[in-house]
Amino acid sequence: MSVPIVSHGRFIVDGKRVLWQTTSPIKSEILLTDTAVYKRSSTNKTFKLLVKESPINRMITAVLTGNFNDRDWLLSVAESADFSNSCLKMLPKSPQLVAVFTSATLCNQANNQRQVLLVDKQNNKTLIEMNISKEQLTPEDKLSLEHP
Amino acid sequence: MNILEWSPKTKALLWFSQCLVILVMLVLSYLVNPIVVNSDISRLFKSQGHSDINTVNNQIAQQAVKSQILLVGNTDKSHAIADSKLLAAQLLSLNEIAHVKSTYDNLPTINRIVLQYLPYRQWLLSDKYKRLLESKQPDKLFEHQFTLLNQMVDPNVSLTLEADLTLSLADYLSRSYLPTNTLVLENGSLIAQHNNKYYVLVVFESNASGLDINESQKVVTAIKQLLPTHQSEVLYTGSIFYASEASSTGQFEMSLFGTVSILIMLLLVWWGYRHVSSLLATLSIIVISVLYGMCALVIAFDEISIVALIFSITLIGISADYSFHSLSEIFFTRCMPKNPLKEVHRSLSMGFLTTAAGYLVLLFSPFILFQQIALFTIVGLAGAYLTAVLLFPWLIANKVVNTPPLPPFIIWLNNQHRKLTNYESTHYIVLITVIVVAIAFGLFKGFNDDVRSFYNVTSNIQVNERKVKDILGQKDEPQYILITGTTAQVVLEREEELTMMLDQHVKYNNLAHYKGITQWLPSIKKQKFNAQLMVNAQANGMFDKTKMLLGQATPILRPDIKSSQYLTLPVWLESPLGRLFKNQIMNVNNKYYSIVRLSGLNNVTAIKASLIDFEESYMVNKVDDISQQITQFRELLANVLLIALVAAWVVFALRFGLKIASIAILIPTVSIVLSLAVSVFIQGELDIFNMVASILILALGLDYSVYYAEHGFEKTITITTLMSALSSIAVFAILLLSSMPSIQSFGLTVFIGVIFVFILAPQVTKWQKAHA
Repeated sequence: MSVPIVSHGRFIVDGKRVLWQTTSPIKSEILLTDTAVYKRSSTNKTFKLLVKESPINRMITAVLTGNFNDRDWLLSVAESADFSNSCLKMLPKSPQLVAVFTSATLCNQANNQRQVLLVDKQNNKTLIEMNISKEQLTPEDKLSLEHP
Repeated sequence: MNILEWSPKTKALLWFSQCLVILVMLVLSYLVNPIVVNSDISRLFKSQGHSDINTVNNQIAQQAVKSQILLVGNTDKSHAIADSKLLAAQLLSLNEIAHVKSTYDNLPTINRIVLQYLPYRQWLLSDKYKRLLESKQPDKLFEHQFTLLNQMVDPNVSLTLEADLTLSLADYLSRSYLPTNTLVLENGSLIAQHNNKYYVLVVFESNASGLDINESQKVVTAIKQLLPTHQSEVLYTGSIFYASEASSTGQFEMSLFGTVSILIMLLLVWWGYRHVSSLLATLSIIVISVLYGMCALVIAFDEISIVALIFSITLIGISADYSFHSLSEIFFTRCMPKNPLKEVHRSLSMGFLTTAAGYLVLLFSPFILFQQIALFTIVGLAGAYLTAVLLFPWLIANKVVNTPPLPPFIIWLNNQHRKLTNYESTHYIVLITVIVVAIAFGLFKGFNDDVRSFYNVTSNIQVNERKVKDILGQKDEPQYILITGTTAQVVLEREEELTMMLDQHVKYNNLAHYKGITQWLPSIKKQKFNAQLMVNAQANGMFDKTKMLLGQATPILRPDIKSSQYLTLPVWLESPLGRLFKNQIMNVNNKYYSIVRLSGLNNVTAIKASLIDFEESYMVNKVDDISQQITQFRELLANVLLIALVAAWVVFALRFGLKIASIAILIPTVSIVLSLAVSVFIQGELDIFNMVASILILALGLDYSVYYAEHGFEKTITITTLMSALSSIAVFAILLLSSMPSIQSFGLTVFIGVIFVFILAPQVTKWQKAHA
């Protein structure tokens, strides 16, 4: 892609679930659980199932929630892109994931900033830059995370 | 010249000649077409038909019959894989097994599937994408495209995005129609995880198309011998395991019932006639009748059902009647040595004709099982009849010098029978019949025509099958929809219309899922329609937002969108995904047939009702279709019974007059009603086998009526009917020990029916006296 696709929003991580709320370019919500992915658009009240029992989805959820282990991943320490921080580089072990996914890199930066870099087999990169905040979950967030 | 007037020696020569012909025919048929005894219980009620649809359905059934599944399970994945490979190698070394598969290197990966579809991008649209294009709301389409982009590391998106900025192909491939994810491909093995164990899939095919009893048993015995050599748990399912069980049960029951029946028969003969020649005669009549029956089956059928053979053991009890009738005449009357059976020849002939006529009804039934039972019995009885008439005069008559006295029990029984013919007893019989029938009517739960209830399967096989289905997540129903058409494209277009209807049923929870090839291969008509839809959408600015997000200024539709190189059936069937669907489309006699498989059926009636509006589309459900045919046949059988009674009444009326004819048909009628009533007491419901048993009761009842009508209340008739009844009772009572509910039902009704026929038959003589 000549132009990167950029979206902004909030990542809410709770236990083994991630709620990805985008605010731009459009408002939408994606809920990642260890068994399925659900989607809710700005006009809908309920989540709709997108994918079920997908190993890729399980992998993404594990990376974003920190629920990973060295049985499924080859873990190593790496430098961040600007060499300012040390990062954890994760290579999948499962042949099924190796076929579509190259690596995930998690970096802890200063000022509560975090970076997650996902690279697929076509060398497409998904860079997630996060500002960590420890806010209380709103009742709406709680309700969303509890779906289905 | 009348054959009956021939000397016993000439008759015997004639018998030996025709017997030799039959034996030569049997040997030749065996050499040309060796007997295949089939133990596939699923084919017991296979109806015969020669339409193309039947051919297709039989091919589909055959595919299912040949394929067997094993799952090798272990808590250690590497052990499970190693054991599965060892088991596969061991299976392959068995001669009876044609093909074993434990590694699946050629299964389509997501990458291969995406690459296969890439040349056809923008002609393949999901229903949702199509609806969004038709909605003419660019925001909604963009929201859907953004959701796809927002799913991180989705290969469907990453592999297609560069070639298809509309994301229509990514969306098409993201639908959750792909085969279940329960099985995961790992180093060539397909592995499912279940309750902390890893199960590796091993699939094998047996060599032959049918399931010969020897073959299925050999394969299953060999497999079961292999299993303890592995540390891993091995689960199995497939028709061969069912067939093996049916064949071992069938062979055991056939030999047990056959041996016991012959022993009882010989003991009866010894008790009744006390002469070696009587044993020889009865034994010869049984052997000959079985040989004749077998000869007819071998000539008429390619495969013989083992269940039909178990049923056919009843021939022993029926054919022995001819021996008893002849022996009573030869032993206890002063018959002419030159033609000792002259007096009983007419009753023997009428007895044969009535029984054969009864079984003839079954010969024209739509089910192979009944056809085989009927043919075996009719031809077997013909052999028994010929043996009695032609061989017995030579075999026995000269050996019996003195007429021995009748056993005292027979004289006592004859007297008791006489008492039953007085008017008071008749009133009691009528009263008891009315009461029994009234109670049975109250208890009657209806008819059970469900073909699945006619045989039992041991829990071990069922547990294995349930576990395999759980682990593999199989929910496929036996029902499927068959769509026909003159060309592949016509079939695809019809299937597309039909699946729109099925989508509605999924929405209303009448159906959980369906699998059809148009989910992955749209018809060319639909691809053209989709292409036009995309062109119109671009003209309407539907992709403007996407273009902006992706930084594209140029049109994002492929330049050759109106090309003629659409995805066709032959191309698709050679693709990695298409190869998995090869069994779902067939070409038989220049007609195409596509199969839509159904899962999680909750409302078959609603789907069947919707199908009426669709051309050349049929719901196929072998089990339900056969059960429905059984219902129709059962109803037909009831009518045939009535017609047979009327026909018998006419024949009897011509020979014995109206009164005797009326009472003669009342005897089997009352016996049938009473035996069905008693069957209701015991079973609660009746099935086709109880009804088939009625035919036999009718035949035996008419036989006994003929004996009494022809010969009056003779003590020799008492011994003949007693021996006949006891032999029939013994043979049919043994069937109650069978593990198959169908055989039990049949045995129970005939067993009870024969008792009533024996008790009631002398009633004919009362009217005979009046008639005289």
